[in-house]
Amino acid sequence: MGNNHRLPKEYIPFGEIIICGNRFIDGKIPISSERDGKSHEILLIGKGVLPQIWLAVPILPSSQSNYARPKWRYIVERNKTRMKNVEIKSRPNTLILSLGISIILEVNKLTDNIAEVSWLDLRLLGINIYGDKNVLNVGTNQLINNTFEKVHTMLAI
Amino acid sequence: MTQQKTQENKEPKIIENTLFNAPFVESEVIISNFQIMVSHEPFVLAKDEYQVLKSGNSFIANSATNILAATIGIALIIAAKYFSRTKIEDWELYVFYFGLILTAAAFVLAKFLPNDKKKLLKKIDKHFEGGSKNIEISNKNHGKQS
Repeated sequence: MGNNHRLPKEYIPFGEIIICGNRFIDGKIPISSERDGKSHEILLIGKGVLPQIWLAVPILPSSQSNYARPKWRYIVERNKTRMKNVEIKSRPNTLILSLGISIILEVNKLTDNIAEVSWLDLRLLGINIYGDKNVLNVGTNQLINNTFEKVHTMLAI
Repeated sequence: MTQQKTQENKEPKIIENTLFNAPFVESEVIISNFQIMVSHEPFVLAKDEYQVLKSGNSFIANSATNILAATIGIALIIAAKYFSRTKIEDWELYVFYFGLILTAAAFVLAKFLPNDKKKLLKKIDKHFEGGSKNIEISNKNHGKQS
Protein backbone atom coordinates (compact mmCIF):
# COMPACT_ATOMS: atom_id res chain seq x y z
CA MET A 1 0.00 0.00 0.00
CA GLY A 2 1.43 3.33 -0.99
CA ASN A 3 5.10 3.95 -1.27
CA ASN A 4 6.49 2.23 1.71
CA HIS A 5 8.62 3.86 4.27
CA ARG A 6 11.68 1.62 4.61
CA LEU A 7 11.52 -0.71 7.56
CA PRO A 8 14.42 -0.78 10.05
CA LYS A 9 17.27 -3.01 8.89
CA GLU A 10 17.35 -4.99 12.13
CA TYR A 11 13.68 -5.90 11.96
CA ILE A 12 12.97 -9.61 11.41
CA PRO A 13 9.24 -10.33 11.53
CA PHE A 14 7.84 -13.29 13.42
CA GLY A 15 6.13 -15.98 11.36
CA GLU A 16 3.06 -15.50 13.48
CA ILE A 17 1.96 -12.91 16.01
CA ILE A 18 -1.22 -13.29 17.99
CA ILE A 19 -2.34 -9.74 18.60
CA CYS A 20 -5.03 -9.57 21.26
CA GLY A 21 -6.56 -12.85 20.12
CA ASN A 22 -6.18 -12.18 16.38
CA ARG A 23 -3.66 -14.17 14.40
CA PHE A 24 -1.33 -12.34 12.04
CA ILE A 25 0.44 -14.94 9.92
CA ASP A 26 3.36 -14.31 7.56
CA GLY A 27 2.84 -10.58 7.80
CA LYS A 28 5.28 -7.73 8.12
CA ILE A 29 3.72 -4.77 9.93
CA PRO A 30 1.15 -5.24 12.72
CA ILE A 31 0.05 -1.59 12.78
CA SER A 32 0.81 0.98 10.14
CA SER A 33 -0.30 4.48 9.28
CA GLU A 34 -1.56 4.73 5.72
CA ARG A 35 -2.50 8.22 4.69
CA ASP A 36 -2.48 10.03 1.38
CA GLY A 37 -0.47 7.26 -0.20
CA LYS A 38 2.20 7.48 2.47
CA SER A 39 2.81 4.86 5.04
CA HIS A 40 4.71 4.75 8.28
CA GLU A 41 4.89 1.75 10.56
CA ILE A 42 3.54 2.34 14.06
CA LEU A 43 4.21 -0.97 15.76
CA LEU A 44 6.78 -3.58 14.84
CA ILE A 45 7.47 -6.72 16.81
CA GLY A 46 10.54 -8.51 15.59
CA LYS A 47 12.44 -11.64 16.41
CA GLY A 48 15.23 -11.68 18.94
CA VAL A 49 16.28 -13.27 22.20
CA LEU A 50 13.60 -10.97 23.54
CA PRO A 51 10.98 -9.66 21.12
CA GLN A 52 12.29 -6.47 19.50
CA ILE A 53 9.87 -3.57 19.61
CA TRP A 54 9.56 -0.44 17.53
CA LEU A 55 6.76 1.96 18.38
CA ALA A 56 5.96 5.31 16.78
CA VAL A 57 3.50 7.96 17.95
CA PRO A 58 1.71 10.69 16.03
CA ILE A 59 2.91 14.22 16.51
CA LEU A 60 0.40 16.80 15.39
CA PRO A 61 1.71 20.20 14.44
CA SER A 62 1.21 22.64 17.30
CA SER A 63 -1.27 24.63 15.22
CA GLN A 64 -3.79 22.09 16.51
CA SER A 65 -5.56 21.77 13.20
CA ASN A 66 -7.55 18.58 13.22
CA TYR A 67 -6.96 18.17 9.52
CA ALA A 68 -3.21 18.34 9.83
CA ARG A 69 -1.42 15.15 9.00
CA PRO A 70 0.50 13.81 11.98
CA LYS A 71 4.17 13.08 11.76
CA TRP A 72 5.34 9.84 13.19
CA ARG A 73 8.19 9.62 15.61
CA TYR A 74 9.62 6.54 17.23
CA ILE A 75 9.38 6.51 21.00
CA VAL A 76 10.79 3.01 21.16
CA GLU A 77 13.41 1.86 18.71
CA ARG A 78 14.58 -1.71 18.95
CA ASN A 79 13.72 -1.84 22.66
CA LYS A 80 15.45 1.46 23.36
CA THR A 81 13.13 4.06 24.76
CA ARG A 82 13.28 7.58 23.39
CA MET A 83 10.66 9.10 25.61
CA LYS A 84 10.70 10.19 29.20
CA ASN A 85 8.45 8.02 31.39
CA VAL A 86 8.39 5.17 28.90
CA GLU A 87 9.99 2.15 30.45
CA ILE A 88 10.82 -1.27 29.16
CA LYS A 89 10.86 -4.18 31.53
CA SER A 90 11.59 -7.74 30.65
CA ARG A 91 11.22 -11.19 32.03
CA PRO A 92 12.43 -14.26 30.20
CA ASN A 93 10.47 -14.28 26.91
CA THR A 94 8.28 -11.36 27.99
CA LEU A 95 8.64 -7.69 27.31
CA ILE A 96 6.55 -5.01 28.98
CA LEU A 97 6.38 -1.43 27.85
CA SER A 98 4.88 1.08 30.24
CA LEU A 99 4.19 4.80 30.39
CA GLY A 100 4.12 5.93 33.98
CA ILE A 101 1.97 3.38 35.77
CA SER A 102 0.05 2.28 32.65
CA ILE A 103 1.12 -0.70 30.63
CA ILE A 104 1.19 0.09 26.92
CA LEU A 105 2.26 -3.25 25.56
CA GLU A 106 3.00 -6.73 26.76
CA VAL A 107 4.59 -9.17 24.35
CA ASN A 108 5.32 -12.82 25.04
CA LYS A 109 7.56 -14.93 22.89
CA LEU A 110 5.82 -18.31 22.66
CA THR A 111 8.31 -20.00 20.33
CA ASP A 112 11.15 -18.71 18.17
CA ASN A 113 8.63 -18.02 15.44
CA ILE A 114 5.48 -17.12 17.36
CA ALA A 115 4.84 -14.13 19.60
CA GLU A 116 1.74 -13.00 21.42
CA VAL A 117 0.56 -9.53 22.36
CA SER A 118 -1.44 -10.06 25.53
CA TRP A 119 -1.97 -6.39 26.35
CA LEU A 120 -2.04 -3.32 24.17
CA ASP A 121 -3.13 0.21 25.01
CA LEU A 122 -2.04 3.01 22.74
CA ARG A 123 -4.69 5.46 23.93
CA LEU A 124 -2.27 7.35 26.14
CA LEU A 125 -0.10 7.82 23.09
CA GLY A 126 -2.86 9.34 21.02
CA ILE A 127 -4.00 6.26 19.12
CA ASN A 128 -7.36 4.72 19.91
CA ILE A 129 -6.26 1.09 19.80
CA TYR A 130 -6.34 -1.16 22.82
CA GLY A 131 -6.94 -4.75 23.73
CA ASP A 132 -6.31 -7.67 26.02
CA LYS A 133 -5.71 -11.35 25.40
CA ASN A 134 -9.07 -11.83 23.65
CA VAL A 135 -10.32 -8.60 22.09
CA LEU A 136 -8.65 -5.94 19.99
CA ASN A 137 -10.44 -2.59 19.95
CA VAL A 138 -9.66 -0.40 16.99
CA GLY A 139 -11.59 2.82 17.23
CA THR A 140 -15.19 1.65 17.58
CA ASN A 141 -14.53 -1.82 16.20
CA GLN A 142 -13.89 -4.96 18.13
CA LEU A 143 -11.76 -7.61 16.49
CA ILE A 144 -12.16 -11.06 18.01
CA ASN A 145 -10.46 -14.24 16.91
CA ASN A 146 -9.78 -13.17 13.32
CA THR A 147 -6.95 -14.37 11.13
CA PHE A 148 -4.83 -12.21 8.84
CA GLU A 149 -2.89 -14.40 6.51
CA LYS A 150 -0.20 -13.32 4.07
CA VAL A 151 -1.14 -9.69 4.55
CA HIS A 152 1.70 -7.19 4.63
CA THR A 153 -0.05 -4.96 7.19
CA MET A 154 -2.63 -6.04 9.73
CA LEU A 155 -4.09 -2.71 10.82
CA ALA A 156 -3.92 0.35 8.60
CA ILE A 157 -4.95 3.54 10.32
CA MET B 1 -15.33 -17.26 5.12
CA THR B 2 -13.06 -14.87 3.34
CA GLN B 3 -13.57 -11.16 3.37
CA GLN B 4 -11.89 -8.46 1.40
CA LYS B 5 -11.65 -5.38 3.56
CA THR B 6 -10.40 -2.20 2.12
CA GLN B 7 -13.36 -0.01 2.94
CA GLU B 8 -13.16 2.23 5.98
CA ASN B 9 -15.24 1.05 8.87
CA LYS B 10 -17.16 3.76 10.60
CA GLU B 11 -20.04 1.93 12.22
CA PRO B 12 -19.32 0.32 15.58
CA LYS B 13 -18.83 -3.32 14.81
CA ILE B 14 -17.80 -6.61 16.22
CA ILE B 15 -15.80 -8.60 13.75
CA GLU B 16 -15.31 -12.22 14.70
CA ASN B 17 -13.77 -15.37 13.26
CA THR B 18 -13.02 -13.75 9.93
CA LEU B 19 -10.17 -14.54 7.58
CA PHE B 20 -8.65 -11.33 6.24
CA ASN B 21 -6.51 -11.16 3.16
CA ALA B 22 -6.19 -7.38 3.25
CA PRO B 23 -5.42 -5.01 6.10
CA PHE B 24 -8.15 -3.88 8.42
CA VAL B 25 -8.51 -0.19 7.69
CA GLU B 26 -9.79 2.30 10.26
CA SER B 27 -8.76 5.88 9.82
CA GLU B 28 -10.48 7.50 12.77
CA VAL B 29 -8.31 6.36 15.60
CA ILE B 30 -5.93 9.24 16.07
CA ILE B 31 -6.99 11.22 19.08
CA SER B 32 -6.78 14.93 18.42
CA ASN B 33 -5.83 17.67 20.87
CA PHE B 34 -2.87 15.62 21.64
CA GLN B 35 0.54 17.08 21.67
CA ILE B 36 3.95 15.65 21.91
CA MET B 37 6.88 17.96 22.20
CA VAL B 38 10.46 17.24 21.51
CA SER B 39 12.60 19.00 24.02
CA HIS B 40 15.98 18.93 25.55
CA GLU B 41 16.53 17.91 29.06
CA PRO B 42 17.63 21.07 30.87
CA PHE B 43 21.24 21.30 31.91
CA VAL B 44 21.41 21.23 35.68
CA LEU B 45 23.90 23.87 36.78
CA ALA B 46 25.21 23.49 40.30
CA LYS B 47 26.04 26.58 42.37
CA ASP B 48 29.79 25.97 42.27
CA GLU B 49 29.59 25.50 38.52
CA TYR B 50 27.79 28.82 38.26
CA GLN B 51 30.64 30.42 40.24
CA VAL B 52 33.15 28.87 37.86
CA LEU B 53 31.29 30.30 34.88
CA LYS B 54 30.99 33.70 36.52
CA SER B 55 34.57 34.01 37.76
CA GLY B 56 35.75 34.01 34.18
CA ASN B 57 39.23 33.19 33.01
CA SER B 58 41.88 31.21 34.77
CA PHE B 59 44.73 32.71 36.79
CA ILE B 60 47.23 32.00 34.01
CA ALA B 61 45.12 33.74 31.36
CA ASN B 62 44.75 36.78 33.62
CA SER B 63 48.52 36.78 34.35
CA ALA B 64 49.28 36.66 30.63
CA THR B 65 47.30 39.87 30.12
CA ASN B 66 49.04 41.55 33.08
CA ILE B 67 52.53 40.60 31.89
CA LEU B 68 51.67 41.87 28.41
CA ALA B 69 50.64 45.23 29.90
CA ALA B 70 53.90 45.48 31.85
CA THR B 71 55.92 44.60 28.75
CA ILE B 72 54.17 47.34 26.77
CA GLY B 73 55.14 49.72 29.62
CA ILE B 74 58.80 48.81 29.24
CA ALA B 75 58.53 49.23 25.45
CA LEU B 76 57.14 52.77 25.96
CA ILE B 77 60.04 53.70 28.27
CA ILE B 78 62.51 52.42 25.65
CA ALA B 79 60.70 54.42 22.96
CA ALA B 80 60.75 57.56 25.12
CA LYS B 81 64.49 57.15 25.66
CA TYR B 82 65.01 56.60 21.94
CA PHE B 83 63.19 59.79 20.99
CA SER B 84 64.96 61.86 23.68
CA ARG B 85 68.28 60.43 22.50
CA THR B 86 69.00 59.11 25.98
CA LYS B 87 71.27 56.08 26.04
CA ILE B 88 69.28 52.81 26.14
CA GLU B 89 70.92 50.34 28.50
CA ASP B 90 71.32 46.69 27.43
CA TRP B 91 69.47 45.43 30.52
CA GLU B 92 66.43 47.46 29.50
CA LEU B 93 66.26 45.60 26.18
CA TYR B 94 66.83 42.24 27.92
CA VAL B 95 63.95 42.91 30.31
CA PHE B 96 61.76 43.82 27.32
CA TYR B 97 62.63 40.58 25.50
CA PHE B 98 62.10 38.59 28.67
CA GLY B 99 58.67 40.20 29.04
CA LEU B 100 57.73 39.22 25.49
CA ILE B 101 58.76 35.60 25.99
CA LEU B 102 56.91 35.39 29.32
CA THR B 103 53.75 36.83 27.75
CA ALA B 104 53.86 34.36 24.86
CA ALA B 105 54.49 31.44 27.23
CA ALA B 106 51.60 32.45 29.49
CA PHE B 107 49.18 32.76 26.57
CA VAL B 108 50.21 29.36 25.21
CA LEU B 109 49.83 27.78 28.66
CA ALA B 110 46.42 29.37 29.18
CA LYS B 111 45.28 28.07 25.83
CA PHE B 112 46.32 24.47 26.36
CA LEU B 113 45.97 23.90 30.08
CA PRO B 114 42.59 22.54 31.07
CA ASN B 115 40.59 24.79 33.31
CA ASP B 116 37.32 24.43 35.13
CA LYS B 117 35.45 26.93 33.04
CA LYS B 118 36.51 25.34 29.77
CA LYS B 119 35.69 21.90 31.10
CA LEU B 120 32.27 23.08 32.18
CA LEU B 121 31.54 24.77 28.86
CA LYS B 122 32.57 21.61 27.07
CA LYS B 123 30.24 19.60 29.26
CA ILE B 124 27.38 21.96 28.46
CA ASP B 125 28.16 21.80 24.73
CA LYS B 126 28.12 18.04 24.88
CA HIS B 127 24.86 17.99 26.78
CA PHE B 128 23.06 20.06 24.17
CA GLU B 129 24.43 18.43 21.07
CA GLY B 130 24.32 14.89 22.42
CA GLY B 131 21.56 12.35 22.46
CA SER B 132 19.86 13.68 25.54
CA LYS B 133 16.85 14.68 23.46
CA ASN B 134 13.59 13.78 25.02
CA ILE B 135 10.07 13.57 23.84
CA GLU B 136 7.56 14.93 26.26
CA ILE B 137 3.93 14.23 26.11
CA SER B 138 0.96 16.26 27.14
CA ASN B 139 -2.62 15.44 26.48
CA LYS B 140 -5.22 18.11 26.84
CA ASN B 141 -7.93 15.47 26.79
CA HIS B 142 -6.25 13.43 29.42
CA GLY B 143 -8.80 11.53 31.43
CA LYS B 144 -11.67 12.42 29.14
CA GLN B 145 -11.20 9.74 26.54
CA SER B 146 -13.13 6.53 26.81
